[in-house]
Amino acid sequence: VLWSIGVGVWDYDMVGDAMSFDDTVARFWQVEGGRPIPMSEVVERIHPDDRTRAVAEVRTALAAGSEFATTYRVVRFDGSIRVVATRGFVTRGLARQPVQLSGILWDTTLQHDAAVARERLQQQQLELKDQFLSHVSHELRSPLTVIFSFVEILLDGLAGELNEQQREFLTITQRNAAHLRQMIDDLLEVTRAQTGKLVVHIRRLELAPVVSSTIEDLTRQAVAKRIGLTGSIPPELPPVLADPDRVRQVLLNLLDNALKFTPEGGAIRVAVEGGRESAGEIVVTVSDSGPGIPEAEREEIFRQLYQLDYGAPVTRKGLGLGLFICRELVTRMGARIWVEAGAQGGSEFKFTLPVYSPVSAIESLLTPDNLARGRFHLIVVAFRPNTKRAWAEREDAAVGLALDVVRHCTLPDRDLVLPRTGASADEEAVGVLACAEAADAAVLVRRIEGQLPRCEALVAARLVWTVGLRTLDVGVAPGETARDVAGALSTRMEDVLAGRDAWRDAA
Amino acid sequence: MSPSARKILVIDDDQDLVRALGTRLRAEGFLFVAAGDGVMAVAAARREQPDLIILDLGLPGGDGYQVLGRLKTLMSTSSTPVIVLSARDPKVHEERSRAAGADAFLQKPAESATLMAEVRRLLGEA
Repeated sequence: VLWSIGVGVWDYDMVGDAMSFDDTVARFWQVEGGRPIPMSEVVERIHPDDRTRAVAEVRTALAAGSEFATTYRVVRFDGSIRVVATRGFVTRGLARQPVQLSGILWDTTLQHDAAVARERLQQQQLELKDQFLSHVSHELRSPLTVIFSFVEILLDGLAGELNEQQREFLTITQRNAAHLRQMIDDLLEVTRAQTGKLVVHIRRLELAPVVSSTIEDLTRQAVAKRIGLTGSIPPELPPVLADPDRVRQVLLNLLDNALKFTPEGGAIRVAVEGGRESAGEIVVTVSDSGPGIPEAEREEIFRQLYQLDYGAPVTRKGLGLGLFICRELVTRMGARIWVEAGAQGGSEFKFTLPVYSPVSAIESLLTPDNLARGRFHLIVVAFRPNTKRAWAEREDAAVGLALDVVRHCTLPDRDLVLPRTGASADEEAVGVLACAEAADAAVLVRRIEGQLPRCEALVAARLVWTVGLRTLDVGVAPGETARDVAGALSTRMEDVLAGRDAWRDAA
Repeated sequence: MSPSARKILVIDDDQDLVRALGTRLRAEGFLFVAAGDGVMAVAAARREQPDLIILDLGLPGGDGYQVLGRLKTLMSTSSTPVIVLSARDPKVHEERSRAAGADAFLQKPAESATLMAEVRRLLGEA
């Protein structure tokens, strides 16, 4: 039955290193049927680019799991490529040691090609939309600039004194122009999110000044609506890991909404809390005395284009993109955003930000979204600031430099920089390994100042062994800026990705 | 107009915006000259010797970057501060502008207060 639908069967005896298989499998692998072959001969038939990954997946199953599934390409003698999928299970002996692998194998070339074509088409469509919106946004901004400029000229009395009503009407014009600008910005942000171009530049950040300046910027608007806008920030706030511009953008968006929906005479409060060692995160809360959000819609409002129906007139609706963008941004900073019912009615929007530490700096890069976008290229960076500063300070400098490098890499979505972390070689090795495994990464080892320190060599060796990674050394002289380093790394990585350069096996 | 008034050259092909910027700059006590395309802009900069230049990136007769490049290579204008005022995406063009020699990048629409603060800062009047 399996044969008739093109599915082959194989069976691997681990003790005798003997792979047996039926005629269908023999055809795929282009080997003579009938006699078992060693595993190395099977591996040889796998496309070189898929080999380390496929082997790693089987190894992982052997080490801990019971089942596995993988796909890989086979290059046939005529040069054509077939995509093969296989599923199998592990049989274990009395001591839980794996003794046998059995499974099935089938051809998924057609499905694979169709999926690739579909994905390419989707990406092309998104790119087109992105280009179109960038163009439209540019063209819309120019006339808007003229409107803003002349309204400001009139409001400042540069074209003569205004009476009260003229001033009021111009203020309304100005507010609506600002709203238009906001909608143009939002449209662009959403396409950027869809094409993976929405970038956050996270770094060590003192949160208090960002929060208080944002509140300050909106005070005038609040006063105009007779709304009390207050903030409470604890004095001993630990630094967070975030993008200052994006934090401001999220907070502005939440406060804008709060101002929009809170009736005259109401109250809006911004509270920053947390930072206890255990939680490892800071929570920012924006509470308002507006109508509140029904429980059933508290998740829905973060969806694209979602508009809440308040059953009451609201001065101006938006595009329904603000909260969607907030969630995209917060998620990209490795944090969460949600809404709860306020204690005294109204809503409480909350978002978290991770407390800064070298480990959180790395973890923040390993978002599901980043991981889903494809294989990571992992750069283990050995920055050794040549100073006599305290360990914590040196560590901060190393992380800062590493994040700076990643920022300047021309392949930002695919690069990961791991600065030196942990106080001991072992601690560091464990952290790097965990990240590498989570990222299914290839590894680039960057070294500065001559020899690779022992602990990094150890990490590299273990990475190669455990995850089937390869290393690439990039030798650049000390004293270079993050930009120089990033430039050199990016060039080498582009070469590697384009197949112009060979990986060097470090094993 | 005081004899020591600083002169500002606005390079932008949007005549309405040039008018608005002219009104604003004159009201703030500056001398104001304008050019509407790349070729005229470089000539105007050499002739007028402005104290500061406000430059748009999308220009007829030469992209703003070409104009910036010319301004930075000409002896007489190479040290004149330049503010790029463009509708283009700052995430791409801010760094590019600065690399090409601009002293500041503001995205359109920029608030007058922001623009004027930048002008005064670069003229050392802040």
